[in-house]
Amino acid sequence: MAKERLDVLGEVCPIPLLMTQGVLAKLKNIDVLIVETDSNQAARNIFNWCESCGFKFEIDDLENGIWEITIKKE
Amino acid sequence: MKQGQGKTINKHVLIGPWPYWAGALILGLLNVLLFVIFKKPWGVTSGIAKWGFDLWEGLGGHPESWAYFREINSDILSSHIFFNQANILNMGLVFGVMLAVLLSSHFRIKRLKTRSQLISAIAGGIMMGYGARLAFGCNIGALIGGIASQSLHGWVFGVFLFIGASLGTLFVRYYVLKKRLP
Repeated sequence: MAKERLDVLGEVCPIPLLMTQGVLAKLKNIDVLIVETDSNQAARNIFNWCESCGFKFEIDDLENGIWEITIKKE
Repeated sequence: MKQGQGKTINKHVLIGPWPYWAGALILGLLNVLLFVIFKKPWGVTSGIAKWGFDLWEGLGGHPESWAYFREINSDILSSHIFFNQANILNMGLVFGVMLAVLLSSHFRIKRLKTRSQLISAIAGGIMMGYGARLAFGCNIGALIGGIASQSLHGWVFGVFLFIGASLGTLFVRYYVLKKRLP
Protein backbone atom coordinates (compact mmCIF):
# COMPACT_ATOMS: atom_id res chain seq x y z
CA MET A 1 0.00 0.00 0.00
CA ALA A 2 1.62 3.22 -1.15
CA LYS A 3 1.69 5.96 1.44
CA GLU A 4 2.57 9.61 1.03
CA ARG A 5 2.89 12.45 3.52
CA LEU A 6 1.98 16.06 2.86
CA ASP A 7 3.25 18.72 5.22
CA VAL A 8 1.28 21.97 4.91
CA LEU A 9 2.12 23.38 8.34
CA GLY A 10 2.12 27.15 8.30
CA GLU A 11 0.02 27.33 5.15
CA VAL A 12 -3.34 29.06 5.28
CA CYS A 13 -6.54 28.47 3.34
CA PRO A 14 -7.02 27.53 0.61
CA ILE A 15 -3.49 26.18 0.03
CA PRO A 16 -3.77 23.02 2.20
CA LEU A 17 -6.94 21.89 0.39
CA LEU A 18 -5.56 22.73 -3.07
CA MET A 19 -2.32 20.88 -2.29
CA THR A 20 -4.26 17.86 -1.03
CA GLN A 21 -6.43 17.79 -4.15
CA GLY A 22 -3.40 18.32 -6.37
CA VAL A 23 -1.31 15.57 -4.77
CA LEU A 24 -4.16 13.06 -4.94
CA ALA A 25 -4.80 13.93 -8.59
CA LYS A 26 -1.14 13.81 -9.57
CA LEU A 27 0.09 10.77 -7.67
CA LYS A 28 -2.45 8.25 -8.84
CA ASN A 29 -0.61 5.23 -7.44
CA ILE A 30 -0.91 6.18 -3.77
CA ASP A 31 -3.60 4.68 -1.56
CA VAL A 32 -3.06 6.66 1.62
CA LEU A 33 -2.23 10.35 1.99
CA ILE A 34 -1.40 11.80 5.38
CA VAL A 35 -1.86 15.58 5.56
CA GLU A 36 -0.50 17.60 8.44
CA THR A 37 -1.95 21.07 8.95
CA ASP A 38 -2.09 23.69 11.70
CA SER A 39 -5.15 25.47 10.35
CA ASN A 40 -8.46 24.20 11.72
CA GLN A 41 -10.40 25.74 8.82
CA ALA A 42 -8.12 23.89 6.41
CA ALA A 43 -8.69 20.64 8.29
CA ARG A 44 -12.43 21.19 7.99
CA ASN A 45 -12.17 22.04 4.27
CA ILE A 46 -10.18 18.89 3.64
CA PHE A 47 -12.55 16.53 5.42
CA ASN A 48 -15.62 18.17 3.88
CA TRP A 49 -14.04 17.62 0.49
CA CYS A 50 -13.17 13.99 1.38
CA GLU A 51 -16.78 13.39 2.38
CA SER A 52 -18.04 14.82 -0.90
CA CYS A 53 -15.62 12.57 -2.82
CA GLY A 54 -16.44 9.51 -0.74
CA PHE A 55 -12.88 9.06 0.55
CA LYS A 56 -12.44 7.56 3.99
CA PHE A 57 -10.49 9.68 6.42
CA GLU A 58 -9.35 9.86 10.00
CA ILE A 59 -8.34 12.89 12.01
CA ASP A 60 -5.84 12.92 14.84
CA ASP A 61 -4.85 15.96 16.80
CA LEU A 62 -1.17 15.50 17.36
CA GLU A 63 -0.86 18.44 19.73
CA ASN A 64 -2.63 21.74 20.37
CA GLY A 65 -3.56 23.20 17.02
CA ILE A 66 -2.07 20.53 14.74
CA TRP A 67 -4.17 18.01 12.88
CA GLU A 68 -3.13 14.95 10.94
CA ILE A 69 -5.67 13.81 8.38
CA THR A 70 -5.25 10.33 6.98
CA ILE A 71 -7.08 9.98 3.67
CA LYS A 72 -7.71 6.55 2.21
CA LYS A 73 -8.45 6.40 -1.48
CA GLU A 74 -10.80 3.55 -2.24
CA MET B 1 -21.97 13.74 9.22
CA LYS B 2 -22.08 10.04 8.46
CA GLN B 3 -20.97 6.83 10.13
CA GLY B 4 -20.38 8.33 13.52
CA GLN B 5 -17.75 10.65 12.16
CA GLY B 6 -19.57 13.60 13.69
CA LYS B 7 -18.34 12.66 17.14
CA THR B 8 -14.73 12.50 16.03
CA ILE B 9 -15.05 15.84 14.34
CA ASN B 10 -16.56 17.54 17.37
CA LYS B 11 -14.02 16.05 19.66
CA HIS B 12 -10.93 16.52 17.58
CA VAL B 13 -11.24 19.35 15.15
CA LEU B 14 -12.96 21.95 17.18
CA ILE B 15 -15.53 22.70 19.74
CA GLY B 16 -18.18 23.64 17.24
CA PRO B 17 -18.19 24.63 14.44
CA TRP B 18 -21.05 27.06 14.74
CA PRO B 19 -23.47 27.17 11.84
CA TYR B 20 -23.13 30.19 9.57
CA TRP B 21 -26.62 31.47 10.40
CA ALA B 22 -25.80 31.60 14.13
CA GLY B 23 -22.63 33.58 13.47
CA ALA B 24 -24.49 35.92 11.10
CA LEU B 25 -27.26 36.52 13.63
CA ILE B 26 -24.86 37.28 16.48
CA LEU B 27 -22.67 39.53 14.33
CA GLY B 28 -25.75 41.37 13.07
CA LEU B 29 -27.07 41.99 16.58
CA LEU B 30 -23.66 43.09 17.87
CA ASN B 31 -23.30 45.42 14.89
CA VAL B 32 -26.64 47.08 15.73
CA LEU B 33 -25.59 47.41 19.36
CA LEU B 34 -22.27 48.92 18.31
CA PHE B 35 -24.02 51.44 16.06
CA VAL B 36 -26.38 52.46 18.87
CA ILE B 37 -23.49 53.00 21.28
CA PHE B 38 -20.90 54.65 19.01
CA LYS B 39 -23.28 56.30 16.50
CA LYS B 40 -21.18 55.02 13.61
CA PRO B 41 -20.59 51.68 11.91
CA TRP B 42 -17.94 49.18 12.95
CA GLY B 43 -14.46 49.87 11.59
CA VAL B 44 -11.15 48.14 12.06
CA THR B 45 -8.40 49.75 10.05
CA SER B 46 -8.78 53.37 11.20
CA GLY B 47 -7.28 52.27 14.54
CA ILE B 48 -4.21 50.99 12.73
CA ALA B 49 -4.03 54.13 10.56
CA LYS B 50 -3.91 56.08 13.83
CA TRP B 51 -0.82 54.10 14.89
CA GLY B 52 0.86 54.96 11.60
CA PHE B 53 -0.17 58.60 11.94
CA ASP B 54 1.33 58.89 15.44
CA LEU B 55 4.45 56.92 14.49
CA TRP B 56 5.19 59.18 11.52
CA GLU B 57 4.46 62.28 13.58
CA GLY B 58 6.77 60.98 16.33
CA LEU B 59 9.54 60.53 13.77
CA GLY B 60 9.17 64.19 12.82
CA GLY B 61 6.88 63.82 9.81
CA HIS B 62 3.76 65.78 9.06
CA PRO B 63 1.04 63.25 8.23
CA GLU B 64 -1.65 65.87 8.95
CA SER B 65 -0.71 67.50 5.65
CA TRP B 66 -1.34 64.28 3.69
CA ALA B 67 -4.35 64.39 1.39
CA TYR B 68 -5.75 61.22 2.94
CA PHE B 69 -5.67 62.43 6.53
CA ARG B 70 -6.99 65.87 5.52
CA GLU B 71 -9.89 64.25 3.73
CA ILE B 72 -11.01 61.80 6.41
CA ASN B 73 -10.66 64.46 9.11
CA SER B 74 -11.56 61.76 11.60
CA ASP B 75 -12.00 62.37 15.31
CA ILE B 76 -9.83 59.31 15.80
CA LEU B 77 -6.72 61.27 14.79
CA SER B 78 -7.05 63.64 17.73
CA SER B 79 -7.89 60.84 20.16
CA HIS B 80 -5.63 58.76 22.37
CA ILE B 81 -3.44 56.31 20.45
CA PHE B 82 -4.76 53.35 22.42
CA PHE B 83 -8.01 54.43 24.04
CA ASN B 84 -10.11 55.17 20.99
CA GLN B 85 -13.15 53.42 19.59
CA ALA B 86 -11.45 51.49 16.78
CA ASN B 87 -8.49 50.36 18.84
CA ILE B 88 -10.53 49.19 21.84
CA LEU B 89 -12.74 47.16 19.49
CA ASN B 90 -9.70 45.73 17.74
CA MET B 91 -8.15 44.67 21.03
CA GLY B 92 -11.48 43.14 22.05
CA LEU B 93 -11.49 41.19 18.79
CA VAL B 94 -7.97 39.88 19.37
CA PHE B 95 -8.67 38.92 23.00
CA GLY B 96 -12.01 37.34 22.04
CA VAL B 97 -10.38 35.20 19.37
CA MET B 98 -7.61 34.23 21.76
CA LEU B 99 -10.15 33.25 24.41
CA ALA B 100 -12.02 31.07 21.93
CA VAL B 101 -8.81 29.37 20.81
CA LEU B 102 -7.66 28.81 24.38
CA LEU B 103 -11.05 27.40 25.40
CA SER B 104 -10.96 24.90 22.57
CA SER B 105 -7.32 24.20 23.52
CA HIS B 106 -6.07 24.94 20.03
CA PHE B 107 -3.73 27.73 21.02
CA ARG B 108 -0.39 27.50 19.33
CA ILE B 109 2.29 29.95 18.28
CA LYS B 110 2.72 29.35 14.59
CA ARG B 111 6.11 29.68 13.03
CA LEU B 112 6.78 30.74 9.50
CA LYS B 113 8.57 27.92 7.79
CA THR B 114 9.82 29.43 4.60
CA ARG B 115 11.04 32.75 3.31
CA SER B 116 8.22 32.84 0.79
CA GLN B 117 5.65 32.67 3.61
CA LEU B 118 7.34 35.66 5.25
CA ILE B 119 7.44 37.63 2.01
CA SER B 120 3.84 36.87 1.11
CA ALA B 121 2.69 37.80 4.63
CA ILE B 122 4.44 41.18 4.49
CA ALA B 123 3.37 41.87 0.89
CA GLY B 124 -0.22 40.89 1.68
CA GLY B 125 -0.28 43.13 4.74
CA ILE B 126 1.02 46.12 2.81
CA MET B 127 -1.43 45.62 -0.06
CA MET B 128 -4.41 45.17 2.26
CA GLY B 129 -3.43 48.13 4.43
CA TYR B 130 -2.85 50.44 1.48
CA GLY B 131 -6.03 49.25 -0.23
CA ALA B 132 -8.07 49.82 2.91
CA ARG B 133 -6.85 53.42 3.07
CA LEU B 134 -7.66 54.05 -0.61
CA ALA B 135 -11.14 52.57 -0.13
CA PHE B 136 -11.75 54.38 3.21
CA GLY B 137 -12.11 51.11 5.05
CA CYS B 138 -11.68 47.37 4.83
CA ASN B 139 -14.29 44.67 4.30
CA ILE B 140 -15.72 45.57 7.71
CA GLY B 141 -15.80 49.38 7.54
CA ALA B 142 -16.38 49.78 3.81
CA LEU B 143 -18.33 46.65 2.87
CA ILE B 144 -20.41 45.60 5.89
CA GLY B 145 -20.68 49.07 7.43
CA GLY B 146 -21.18 50.72 4.04
CA ILE B 147 -23.95 48.44 2.84
CA ALA B 148 -25.69 48.36 6.22
CA SER B 149 -25.78 52.16 6.34
CA GLN B 150 -27.19 52.39 2.78
CA SER B 151 -24.05 53.94 1.32
CA LEU B 152 -23.37 53.31 -2.38
CA HIS B 153 -19.64 52.96 -1.71
CA GLY B 154 -20.25 49.69 0.13
CA TRP B 155 -21.77 48.14 -2.99
CA VAL B 156 -18.99 49.48 -5.22
CA PHE B 157 -16.48 48.05 -2.76
CA GLY B 158 -18.34 44.72 -2.86
CA VAL B 159 -18.22 44.47 -6.67
CA PHE B 160 -14.48 45.13 -6.79
CA LEU B 161 -13.87 42.86 -3.80
CA PHE B 162 -15.54 40.08 -5.76
CA ILE B 163 -13.38 40.76 -8.82
CA GLY B 164 -10.20 40.99 -6.74
CA ALA B 165 -10.97 37.84 -4.75
CA SER B 166 -11.70 35.92 -7.97
CA LEU B 167 -8.38 37.00 -9.50
CA GLY B 168 -6.61 36.16 -6.24
CA THR B 169 -8.16 32.68 -6.23
CA LEU B 170 -7.07 32.05 -9.82
CA PHE B 171 -3.56 33.18 -8.94
CA VAL B 172 -3.36 30.93 -5.85
CA ARG B 173 -4.68 27.97 -7.85
CA TYR B 174 -2.07 28.57 -10.55
CA TYR B 175 0.70 29.02 -7.96
CA VAL B 176 -0.17 25.80 -6.14
CA LEU B 177 -0.53 23.71 -9.30
CA LYS B 178 2.60 25.00 -11.03
CA LYS B 179 5.02 25.75 -8.24
CA ARG B 180 4.17 23.78 -5.17
CA LEU B 181 3.14 20.29 -6.10
CA PRO B 182 5.84 17.61 -5.82
